[in-house]
Amino acid sequence: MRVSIQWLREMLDTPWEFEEIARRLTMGGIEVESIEEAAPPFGQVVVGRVLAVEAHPQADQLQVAAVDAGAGQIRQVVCGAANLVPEMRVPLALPGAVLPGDRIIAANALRGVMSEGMLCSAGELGLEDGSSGLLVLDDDAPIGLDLRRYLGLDDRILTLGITPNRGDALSMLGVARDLAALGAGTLRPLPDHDDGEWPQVLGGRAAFTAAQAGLDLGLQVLDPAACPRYCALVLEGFGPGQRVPDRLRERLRRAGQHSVHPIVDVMNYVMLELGQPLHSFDAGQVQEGIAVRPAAAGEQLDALDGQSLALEPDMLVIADAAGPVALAGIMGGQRTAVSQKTRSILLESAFFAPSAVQGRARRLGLQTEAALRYERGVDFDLPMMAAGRASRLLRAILGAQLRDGRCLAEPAAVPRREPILLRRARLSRILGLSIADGQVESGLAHLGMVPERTEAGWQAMPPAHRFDLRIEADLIEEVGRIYGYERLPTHRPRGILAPLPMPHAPLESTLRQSMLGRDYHEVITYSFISAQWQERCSPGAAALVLRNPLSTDMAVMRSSLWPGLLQVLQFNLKRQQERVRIFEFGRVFEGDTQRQVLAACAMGPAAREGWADPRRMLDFYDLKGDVESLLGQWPGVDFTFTQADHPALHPGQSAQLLANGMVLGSLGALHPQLAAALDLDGAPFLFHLEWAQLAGLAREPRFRAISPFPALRRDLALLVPAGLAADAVAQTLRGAASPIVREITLFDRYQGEGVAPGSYSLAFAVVLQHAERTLTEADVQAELDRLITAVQRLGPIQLRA
Amino acid sequence: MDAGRLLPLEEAARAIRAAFDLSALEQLRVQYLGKKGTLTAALQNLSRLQGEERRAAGLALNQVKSEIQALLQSRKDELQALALEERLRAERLDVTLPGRGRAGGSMHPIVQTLEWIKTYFLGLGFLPSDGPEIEDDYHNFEALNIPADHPARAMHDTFYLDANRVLRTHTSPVQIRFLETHEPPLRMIATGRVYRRDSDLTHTPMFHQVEGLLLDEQASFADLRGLLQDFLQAFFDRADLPVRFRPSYFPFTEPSAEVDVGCVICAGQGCRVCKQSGWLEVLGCGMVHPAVLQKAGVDGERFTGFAFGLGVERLSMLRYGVNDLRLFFENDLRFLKQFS
Repeated sequence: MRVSIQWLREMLDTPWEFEEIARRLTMGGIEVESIEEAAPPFGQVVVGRVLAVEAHPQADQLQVAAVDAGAGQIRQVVCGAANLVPEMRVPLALPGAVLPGDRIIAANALRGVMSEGMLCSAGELGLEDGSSGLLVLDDDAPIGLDLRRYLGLDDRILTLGITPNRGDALSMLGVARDLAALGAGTLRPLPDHDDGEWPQVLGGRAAFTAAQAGLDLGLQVLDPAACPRYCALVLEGFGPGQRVPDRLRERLRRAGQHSVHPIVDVMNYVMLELGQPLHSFDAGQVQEGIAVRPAAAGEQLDALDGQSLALEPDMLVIADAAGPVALAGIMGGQRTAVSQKTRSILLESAFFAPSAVQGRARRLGLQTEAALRYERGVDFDLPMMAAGRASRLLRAILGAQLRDGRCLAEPAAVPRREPILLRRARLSRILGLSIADGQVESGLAHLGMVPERTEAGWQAMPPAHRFDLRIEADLIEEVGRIYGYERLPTHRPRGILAPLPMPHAPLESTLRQSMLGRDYHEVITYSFISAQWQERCSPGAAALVLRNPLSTDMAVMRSSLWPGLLQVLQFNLKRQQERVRIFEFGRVFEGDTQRQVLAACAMGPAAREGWADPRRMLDFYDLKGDVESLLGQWPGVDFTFTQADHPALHPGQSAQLLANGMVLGSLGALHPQLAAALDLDGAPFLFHLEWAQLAGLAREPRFRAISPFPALRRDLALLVPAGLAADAVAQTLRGAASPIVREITLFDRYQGEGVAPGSYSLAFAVVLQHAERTLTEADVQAELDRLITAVQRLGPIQLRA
Repeated sequence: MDAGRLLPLEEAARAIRAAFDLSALEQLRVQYLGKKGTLTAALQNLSRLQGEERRAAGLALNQVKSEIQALLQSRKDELQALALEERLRAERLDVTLPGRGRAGGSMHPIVQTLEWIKTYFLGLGFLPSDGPEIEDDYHNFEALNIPADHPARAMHDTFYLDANRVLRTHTSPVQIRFLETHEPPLRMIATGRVYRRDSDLTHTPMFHQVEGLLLDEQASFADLRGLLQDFLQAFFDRADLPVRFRPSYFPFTEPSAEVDVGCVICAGQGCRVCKQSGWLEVLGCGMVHPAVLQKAGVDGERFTGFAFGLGVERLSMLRYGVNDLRLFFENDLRFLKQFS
C-alpha cells in the first residue's frame, strides 16, 4: 500500500509532520517500509500551451512548436514527440531548468532552429519509468503555472506493509482512520458521494428474485451467504477520448497504479480511497439474466489479463445468460470489459464474504487488488457508499448519467458482529500493567467502538471494518497498541526452577567438536537434492518427492547426506581447494522416517601441507581412524567393522559399522563410476553415522583397579592365510585371553618378501599383567600357548619365526 | 721439604686451566691425585721425614692437594657448563617453524549462532525440543490458527509433498508438538531448519529458526519484553542496545509484536543495511493466541504465556558482518575457514 501524504492530509486533519506520521504508523502496527519523494527534484518547468506546430525545415523527425509559457511569453521549442498537437497543454522546461539525471536545459539551436526550452514526457520528469510521448495535461491547466505546484509534486509517499489481519488499512480512509485512532488528529468528512439519489434500494430475501430486482438486466444473487450485499448501478453517457483529470491520475500514479481507462481509473481511485473494490461491466456487452452464483464444474472465464481460468464449484462468479463475466471479488472477464467503445456500464459494488474469496486467487495463480481486500475482509457497510462515490465521480468527471441503481441485500447473511468482553484483570495480566479505565475507554472509542462498562470490565462491539477483532485478546492488543507498545512495562520473567534433564550420552555438540579436532569443516547443504543423485546414493529408498520443487536439482528429499557433501566437494575442488574435509549434521528422509545423521567427506592429502610432514594422500584407514576416534565417545561399546557393499561405494573399500547387532553407519571410497560422474580426479572417502542410534548407546566409563605389579610384553607374529581378515584374528585372540592379558595390539602387517604367497603376517603386542602378583615366565608362556592354540583353530595359522 | 718443589702448584694450575675437555681433565686428576699420582707419591714420601719437618710438609702437601682438587672441580664445572652450552647451541631449533600435524576444522557460522542462542536459553531453564522437518498441515498451520485459505498462508510459500504433508515453513509447529507432550508451566526452546519456496538475493529455500515458548500462571507481555531485551543485548554484546517492540500480526499470537534493535551496523544513524531507518527487525513474538492454547488442550484462563521466533541467518549476518545470505549455503571452504 502506497500512501501519498498530500492525499492523506485531505482525509485527516493532523499537525504531525510526515516523519512523525511514519514513525507513529510503524509503532502502531502499520510498518512503513520506505519513504520516497513523489517526484525527483527539478525546477523551472511550467504548464505550457501549444499554439502552433510546424514541420522542422531540416529534420523529418522534429517539429517546431510555438508554446505559450504564460505571462505573454511565447517560446519556440523544437520537439520530436509524436503526440504533439496544437492546443494541448504540456510541461515546458524553460532554459535554465535542471531535469532529473542532471539534464540541463538551455536555449540552443537544434538542426538550425532555435529551441527555447523543452516539452517534456513523464519519463523525462522522473514521474514514470520510460514513457512515450509528451505528458498531456488537462485542458484547464493554468498556463505558466509551475508544474510542481500544479501537480502538487512536493509530496512524499509511504510504502506500508499491511499485515493480513489489517484489511481495513488497505485504503487512504483506513490509514487515516488508524492514524486518527493513534492520536494524529481528526478525520475530515468523507468525500462527496451520491447518497439517496438511487432510484431504489431493496432489502430482504425477496429482493433476490429477478422480478423484484426490477433491473433491466434481471440481476439476482443465488448465493446470498457468499454475497450478502450486491449494489449495482447503471450509468450511461460514456464516450471515446475521455480522460480523468491530472489530479486523479497523479494520485493513481503515486499509489503505484497506471491509468488504464477513465472508467477503470475511477474504480481504482475509489478503491484506493475507501477500500471498496469496484468493478465495471460494459453494459452493452452484458446479456440478460445476471446472477451471482457458484461456478459450474468445467466453466471457464476469459479473464481481463488474457488468461483463461478454469473455474471450480467453490468459486463464486457473476454470470449472464452466456456464462461467467467475472470471478467474484477477484477479476473481471474480457467479454464485458470496458473499452473505448463502451457507452454504458453496470457498476458493481458488493460485499463478498471473505470465505467465498479466500484462497481462490492463489489457486488460480492470480494476485489482484480486489482479492487482496476481499480475502482480508471489506467493510460490509461500505458497498453503497462506495458505489455512490464512484457514481458521483463518473458523473462529475466523465459526464455520465445515473440511470438505475439497486442494492440487493440479505440481512441474515451480512456478518453479524458479536460484542466482545474485555476484562480489566485479564487486560492487566496480559500486558503486565494496569491501565486506567478512562484510558481503556478512550482507546476503544478512538477505534470506533462504544465500550459499555460491565462488572468485570467492558463490552464493546467491533466496527464493521475490523474483521480481525473477534475475541478479548484482540481488544487487549488494540488497547496496548493505542496506549503505545513503547510505553508498556518491561521486566524479567519469574519462574519455577525446574531442573532440565542432564544427558549422560554424548551430545551432538561433543561429536561436532571431535570432528573439528580432526580437521573437518562443518557445512550445511539443502535437504532437497536431484532425483538422480538420490537414486545413485540411495537406490531403492522410499524417496520423498516434492510436489512443487524450485528446480530439478532440488526435487527430492535426501535419503543420504552424501550427495550434498559431494556437491560441496566439487564446488570447492573447482575453486582450487586440493584438500577438502567436510561434515554435516542433518536429517535424512525415507518413507515415514526423518533421521538425524552425521556424514563426512574427505579428499586430498592426508595432512595439511607442511615442511615437516611427508606428503601422503588420504586413504581408507585415515577415514576409518576418524570414525574410530569419534567412537571413542562410547568407551563401553564394542564396535565392529565388516566388509559390506554399498551402492555408492567402491566394493572393495567399503565397510559397515555394527554394534549391539545394529548397523550404525558405513564408510568407504566413493564408487569410481560416481567419482567419474562428478568429474573427479580420484575418489573421495565418505562416512555416515546414524546419530539417533549412537546417541542411544550407553557410554559411562567403568573404573578397573590398576595393578601395582610389573607388566610384560610379548610379541606374537603370525602367518595368516590371505582369506582371513585381520580383525577375525584379533577378535579370536582377545576372546581367548585370560584376565592376565591387559591388551592385545596389532602393530604390524606385512606381505611380500619372506612371507609365503597366499598369506600375510600380523604382529600383535600382547601385554600381560597380574592384578595380585608378579607374573612368572611360566605364566606368560602358558598364556601365549593358549592364544596360539585358539587362533590356530581359525585356520592354518603359523607362528612366524 | 718444600711442597712447591715436590709439586709445582702453578704448573698444575696452568695445566688444569688448559684442559680442553673432561677427559683431559680426568687425565690430569689421575696424574696428580690418582693412586700413582705425583701428589699421592709425595704424600707417601712423607713417611721418610720426621717430626716438625714431616708435619710442615704434610700440611703443605694437603694444602696443595685441596687447592688442586678445587682447581679440578672448578675447571670441571666450567667445562660442563661449556659442554652444556655447546649442546644447547647444537640443539637450537627454529621455533618459528610451524608445528606438525596441525588440525582444526570449523563450525558452520549458522550452527555457532544456533548453539549460542540455545545455550543462552538453556541457562534460563528452557528445555530444548525438536520436531519433524516434514510436517503435517495440522501442526504447521491448522493448530497455529492458520486455516486453509487464510490470507496468512500467503506469508508462507510452502513446499508440498502431498495434500497433507509440507516442509515446515517455520519452527512454530514445535510449540504444538511440545504442548502435546508437556504440561504447563513450561519453557521450551527449539532450533532447526525451515523451508519456504523462495530463492533470490535475500531468500534461500531453506533457512534456520529458533522458537521459544513459555507458559505459566503469571507470564505477561512485560516478561516477554524483558526476556527478549536481555537476550538481544547479550547476543549483540551491547548492554545499551536499543530494543523496540512494534505491534504486528502472527495468527498464533495475540497481542503480537515485531522486535527491532538499533542498527548494529551504523549505530542507528541510518545505512544500507537498515534501509536508512536506524532499526533492524530481528524477531517476531507475542502472547500465545487463545485459539492455539484451546486446540492444544491448555486451560487458557489459568495459563498464559508467550512465544517468539527468530531467523538465524539474519542474526548471523549481523553478528559476523556477512553481507550475502547465499554464502551460508555455498559452503566455500574459504568462507567456512574464517569461522574456525
